[in-house]
Amino acid sequence: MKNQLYFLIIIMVVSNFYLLSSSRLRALIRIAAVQGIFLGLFPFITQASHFSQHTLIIGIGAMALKGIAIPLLLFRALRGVEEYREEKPYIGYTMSICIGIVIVSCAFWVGSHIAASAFFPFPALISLAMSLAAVGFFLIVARKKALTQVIGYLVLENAIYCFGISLSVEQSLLVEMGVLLDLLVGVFIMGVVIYHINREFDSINTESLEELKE
Amino acid sequence: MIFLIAGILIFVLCGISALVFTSKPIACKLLGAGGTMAGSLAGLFVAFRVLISGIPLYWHASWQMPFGSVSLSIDALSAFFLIPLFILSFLGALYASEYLDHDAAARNLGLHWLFYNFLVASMALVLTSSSGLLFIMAWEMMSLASFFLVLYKHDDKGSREAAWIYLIATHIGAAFLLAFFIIAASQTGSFDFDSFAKHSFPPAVSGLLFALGLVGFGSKAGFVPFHVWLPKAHPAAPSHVSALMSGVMIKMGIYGIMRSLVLFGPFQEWWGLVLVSIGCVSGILGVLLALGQHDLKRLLAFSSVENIGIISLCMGAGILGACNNNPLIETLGFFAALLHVVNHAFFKGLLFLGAGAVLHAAHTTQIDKLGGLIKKMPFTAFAFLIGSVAICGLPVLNGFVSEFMLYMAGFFGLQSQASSMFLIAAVFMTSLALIGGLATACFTKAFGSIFLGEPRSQQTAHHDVGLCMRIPMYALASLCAIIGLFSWLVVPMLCGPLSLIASSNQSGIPITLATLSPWLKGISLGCALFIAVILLLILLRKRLLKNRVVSSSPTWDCGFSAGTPRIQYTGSSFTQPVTNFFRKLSFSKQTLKVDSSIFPQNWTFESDVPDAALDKVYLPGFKLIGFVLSKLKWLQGGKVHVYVLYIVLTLIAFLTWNFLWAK
Amino acid sequence: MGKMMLLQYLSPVLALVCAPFLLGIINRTKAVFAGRKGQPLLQTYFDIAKLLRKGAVYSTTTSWLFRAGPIVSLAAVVVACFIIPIGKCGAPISFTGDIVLFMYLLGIARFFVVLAALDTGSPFEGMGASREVFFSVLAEPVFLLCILALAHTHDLRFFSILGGMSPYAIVPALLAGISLFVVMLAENARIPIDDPTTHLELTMIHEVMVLDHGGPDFALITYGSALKLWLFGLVVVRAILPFHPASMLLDCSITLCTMAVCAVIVGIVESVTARLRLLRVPQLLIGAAALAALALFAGEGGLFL
Repeated sequence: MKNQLYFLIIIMVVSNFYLLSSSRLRALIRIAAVQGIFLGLFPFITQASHFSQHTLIIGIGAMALKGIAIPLLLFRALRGVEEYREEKPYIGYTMSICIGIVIVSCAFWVGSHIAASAFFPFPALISLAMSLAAVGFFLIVARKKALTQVIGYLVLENAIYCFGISLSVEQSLLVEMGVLLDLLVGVFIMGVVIYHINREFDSINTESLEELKE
Repeated sequence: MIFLIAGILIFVLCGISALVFTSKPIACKLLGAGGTMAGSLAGLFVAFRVLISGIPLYWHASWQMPFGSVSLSIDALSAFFLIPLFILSFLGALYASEYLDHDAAARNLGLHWLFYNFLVASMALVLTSSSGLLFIMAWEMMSLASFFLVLYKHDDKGSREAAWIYLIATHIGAAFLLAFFIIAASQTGSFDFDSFAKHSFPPAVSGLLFALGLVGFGSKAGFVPFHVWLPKAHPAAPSHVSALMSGVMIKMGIYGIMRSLVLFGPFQEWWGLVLVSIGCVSGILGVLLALGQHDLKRLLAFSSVENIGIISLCMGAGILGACNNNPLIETLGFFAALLHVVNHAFFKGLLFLGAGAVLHAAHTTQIDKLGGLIKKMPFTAFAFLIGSVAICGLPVLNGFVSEFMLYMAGFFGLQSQASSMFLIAAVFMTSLALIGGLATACFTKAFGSIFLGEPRSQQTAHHDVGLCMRIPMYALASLCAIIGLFSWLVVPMLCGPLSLIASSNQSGIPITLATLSPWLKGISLGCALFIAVILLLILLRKRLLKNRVVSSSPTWDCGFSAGTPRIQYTGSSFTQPVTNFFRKLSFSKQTLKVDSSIFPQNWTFESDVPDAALDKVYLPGFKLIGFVLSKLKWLQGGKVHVYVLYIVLTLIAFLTWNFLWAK
Repeated sequence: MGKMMLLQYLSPVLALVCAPFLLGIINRTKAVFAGRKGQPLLQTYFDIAKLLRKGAVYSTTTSWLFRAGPIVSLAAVVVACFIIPIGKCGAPISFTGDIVLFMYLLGIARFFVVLAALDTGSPFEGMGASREVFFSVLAEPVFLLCILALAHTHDLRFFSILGGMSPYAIVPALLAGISLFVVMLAENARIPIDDPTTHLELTMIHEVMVLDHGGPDFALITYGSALKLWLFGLVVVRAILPFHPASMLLDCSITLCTMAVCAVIVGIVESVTARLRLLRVPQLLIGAAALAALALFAGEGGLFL
């Protein structure tokens, strides 16, 4: 069981690096979808010993929402705007991977300290959550396109999900459901906003929003 | 001991008499160079005897100084640092006897020899003094002597500026050292090193002392925020002086840190962390800045910063190993540090002497103006090649051995249980590999664009340098090769200094030579095989080409036969991809001026890697200080009686303080 | 005991004899993909033999260093063959830390090839040398990280990391293997980093550095690059092979077969991918570094567990 968990964590971290290094918006959505699906597998592994309906709901729900529904929505938003690439991010892709290596290592280091300070059934998940959060924040800060920023939020949400399942499934169900719902609404709104930004400025660069200030 | 004192006396006397005989060039040269060489031989004898026998020597003067005694001692650590000092001063003097010849009419060589001898004498005193006060005095003398040596071309504005920056930098460091010794002495009541060693300092005080020492000694050694004087002073000084300064004088800073480790132990973990981080930063930034330089001696100066960084990494690893009760890491770290001190003295000395030879023959060290010197200066070129291979840490030569030990220290750090050690070790080994790759880029650039290809300008050499300049280069080159090939014989000599350093930590004496020597023998075996295969291949090639047509023609030009030497890749273009990739770290500047007319003629492109620390930190800082101080200008009215009043007022203030509070 | 001593020499002998064969396999794979019949599998041997029989032409700009370049770099790679073991047979030169020696031997080989290129004074060769140095600055730390990921639970010697490892380490080994594969492509001038068969000097990296070498010198260089490919292939293959049978013969032959497969994979990669823009290569290498760092941290004793 530990082996499978471990394997999943590696996949998640590799996908993080992919998110940092890719400039293609469609690829980013696809990777976010893959991340969502693999994330949905986590509860099945952590709760393998006392499997319940909650586990099923939380796992399948995450897969359906993060792996299928949200990516489809984002693809739709993208179809409307006809933009395919993040051309000039604030921080270049090579630099992003370098920073990624640093923040992921730091996240795992901090995570291992947190996990050592109290009892956690799955300490590695804490580290993973930290690294997901770091990468999510980084994406939001370092990229210009609204869509990439939405993906950053998605990764951030994945981090919260990870924290949740690393504690215990039953307690976190409510929180998780709430967050998922928030996220879905958020993505809906963002899709509308992207559409409007694009109609107004002919691009989905968030820096054009600066023109709105007085 | 008597030999060392005799040696120091010889330095002083010969230096002074060289000044007296300034008007007679031959006598001046004989006295100056001969004095250095004789004194160095005497000193070398003592140093080797102490290092091999392991018995420290002491000498106390019968007269007293305020706050302490005049006492010298040579223990293993001093002896270890004395060896490169005397070897380089000896070879430097021999080299200078030819190098300075063409300056005999224009410059005052007597002064030069005076300060050269004084520099060597003061460094010997720094290494052997066992009292804080004497140490500070010798330290100051060393700084002043080297200041005057940097000022050799005193009619050149750049030289004066360089010497000025050096003087300021070294005195800021000295101020920290003064505080360092005063705090230590206030704890023990005496400036003598013995009393420091016997006293057990509370951790807070020894931490403070370490921090002060790090700044004070670090500004001499050239750790990254304090390195600004190096790239200025080295190009200005004559080459043998640069060799001595870069090879040995900056190591006085390392010696100071090691000595304070001996005196103020036990170590604390954050010392190691600080040294490792300084080492990583100095190493990477030093080599990146070196890579972008256009002047050979400036390049070598930055590369000294890199190597000091590597030594700092080694010491940091040693301290971390000691604090984590891992004697293997401790041994490897300090072994690597000590060995790299000697190695760097040899190959950097060699490279500076080579740069001097280039300057001597071609009258410039601008890399992009040179080229093709290997044909006119084959001996210098071969020696410089050996130095370049050694400084890149490539096998067969000595640089590899110390880097190997550092890699091993890092590797055992990875294997230790603590997760912070794991992270540190991973970071530092990656940095080390990066530094290695960048150093290769840097020195292929230096060697390739100076010695290979065709001359890029009119400034080129017509003949090689003479025997007196060749012998020192080849002596250093063979020392590099000996350490590289016979490392398992050399490394046991490091045990003496190591056990001194380790003893202050009370973690026992972690000599693990038995573990180490099979590795070193493995390296030697590999190197021997490498040389054998090279010889075999040379024979094979000779046989193959024996009865065949071997012709010569121009270089393949892809059908475009109008090429001139100007279309060659220059050193700057060679390193452009690397400097461009790392531009955010090294603050390199590239400016392209575009001529947008229909027939563009005047495109210009400039690339430069300025020293960001100097331009962005120090100069604005000093400007600010100057601005603040200019408000106090009224104090300095130019009236002598007012100055006397100041003195009286100060005296009264001190007296009052003494009466009221000092009880 | 005597038998063991002899067996140690199996690895260098196999490397020295079979290395050019790998290039043949790669070229044949590419030919099959392109629908051609392709050159004979032993073509590299024929090339080397032909070159060895020729005379030499040297540029008037060059010096002795140009002639020394191929010799020193080949010698370094040959010694590297004596360090790396094939399976459990061991290698003649084996000590803790031999990996560092291996890395630096390849470094000295590169150092001299680059200097020989600069010795010609040709702008093309300067360009190639500049790129080679740049990419190796990035590739070297990646290689070290991969090796550390494989070695840090064992011992910093090839014999212990390429001999076989605990099953738990399969994931880091896989990551490190992928990363090593990228390093192998970069160090051996293969597509997508460099194209050995392109027709334009301006776009090459490794091949343009050796433009001026001919005759026996070029034979040494060709042989040297074949050996280098073999060495990297061996490291990649042994890193990712999940099982190591006890029988030495079986182990050895499995390794050899996997190396042939590895060569086929290289050929496939070359056939199906386009060459990267030069500006993109650092990104690929840094990506490989990320994988290698992950492999290091994910291993036992790392930060994950």
